Amino acid sequence: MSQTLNLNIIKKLILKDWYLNQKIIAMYVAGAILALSFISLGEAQFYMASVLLICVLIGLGNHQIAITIINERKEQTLPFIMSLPISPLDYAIAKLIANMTLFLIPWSLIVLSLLAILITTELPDGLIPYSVIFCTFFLVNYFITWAVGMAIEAEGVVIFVMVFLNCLTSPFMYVLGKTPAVMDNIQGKEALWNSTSINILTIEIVVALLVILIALFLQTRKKTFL
Amino acid sequence: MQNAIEFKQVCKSYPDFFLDNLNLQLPQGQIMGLVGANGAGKSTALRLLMGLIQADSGVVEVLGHKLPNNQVLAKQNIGYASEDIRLYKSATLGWHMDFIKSIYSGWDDAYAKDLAKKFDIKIGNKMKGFSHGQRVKACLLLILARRPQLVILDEPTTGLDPVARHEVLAELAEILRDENRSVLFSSHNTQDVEQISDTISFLHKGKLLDSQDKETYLDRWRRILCTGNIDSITLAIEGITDIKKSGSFCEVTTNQFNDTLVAKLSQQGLSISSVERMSLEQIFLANVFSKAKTGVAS
Repeated sequence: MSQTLNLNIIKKLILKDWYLNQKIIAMYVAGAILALSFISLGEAQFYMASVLLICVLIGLGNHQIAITIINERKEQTLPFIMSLPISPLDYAIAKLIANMTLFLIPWSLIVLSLLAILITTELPDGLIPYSVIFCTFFLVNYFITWAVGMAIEAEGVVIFVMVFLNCLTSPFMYVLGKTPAVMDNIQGKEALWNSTSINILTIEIVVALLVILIALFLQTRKKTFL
Repeated sequence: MQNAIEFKQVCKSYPDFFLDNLNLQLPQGQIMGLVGANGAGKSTALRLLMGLIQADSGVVEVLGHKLPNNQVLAKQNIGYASEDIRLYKSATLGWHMDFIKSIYSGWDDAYAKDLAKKFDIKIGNKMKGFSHGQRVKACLLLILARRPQLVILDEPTTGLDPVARHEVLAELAEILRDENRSVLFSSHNTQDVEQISDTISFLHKGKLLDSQDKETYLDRWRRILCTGNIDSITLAIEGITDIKKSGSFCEVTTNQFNDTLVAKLSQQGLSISSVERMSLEQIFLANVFSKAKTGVAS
């Protein structure tokens, strides 16, 4: 199979996904702005805003995977795209960049805004490592769901993976809450990045990259695009 | 003359279907109608040409490019529409036109607008408001306006009203004013195939039974009405695909008609009442029933 990437069409496909998802992204970003607007106003507001942020991160990832990958197959727009002068690898790269930017840009904005709030308000800076690890957990979940979506494209399987990964949110919070190296400084005035926090974050990033590589590899071996 | 399409001993198997050593060529500048019952392998053949599925063995070449390796080059000059294809519901036809225009340099804006007018579809409307017929016409607009060298259509007229069918077929015929452009289309509607094809290819249960220019193909088939007794010698005459008897009245169907066949039947004591040409629909049915009786694998 020819591995030369058709960059011009990849760009068009990315813009196409951005166009088709712009309203959804705007909706979730608005939700995140709302949550961040009152997160520092008190303890009750902090918990309410945190829950809203979690919902936004989960919804943002799952919703756009459903639109860009699952619906593309379910609503039979995939043959339309594959009938264009592209290779399976072009398609996978375009999807990777489109989806990652569709998620990573709002995700980064949310995380950076959260960090800015933690740094500039009375909320303890010690929350920063916990918050980053926790937000990265949703990033990893998104990458895994994306990889499964690209590799399997079956709505049922992807929904199962989404539900399963979301069910891991509470256990992850519990385990993180029982990890002294992460929790001991949570009320501290300064963020403390110890080896445990860095290791957890590194593992999250490695898992995310690994699942993407596996999905791309499987995509190049795919023989059916219907 | 270069072939627009070439299948060489192509096999593709599914749990309940096997495309069996398909050998088929479409010379450039021709319209080929692919005929066959449901499950004959028409859509499989067309999907192979678009790289939407890959052959288990054999060679698929489109416009001189081998698939799937050179599918990008091949697809630059192919327009493909099928029942499998849907456009984005939340986007307008105009958005789709701009999208395709940004990919294909050969896009003809004036022709696209002319087609939209002719097909009576609104460029500013979202696809979710389109009826089935309008969706089909929108797909055709998107492929025809880029003026591809090869047009591949899977059941292009299915579900269209007679007016829409006429419009679509007229546009397909228009394509061939340019002698370098070719069309391969599959259809259940034998009238469409008979109307616009230069070549007819007949698939049945994954096997190519026939592929020939339309005139020769239609000319080979005749229904011979006669009276008399059919014996085993008559049954053994080469080219007879079916015999229906009703008392002394017989209806003999042949796919190798010539004057000697009529003479042979007369020699067997049969009195020939008439020799009738057959429509493609009648040939299609005769072929399917004949294969059902004999078993296509034999």
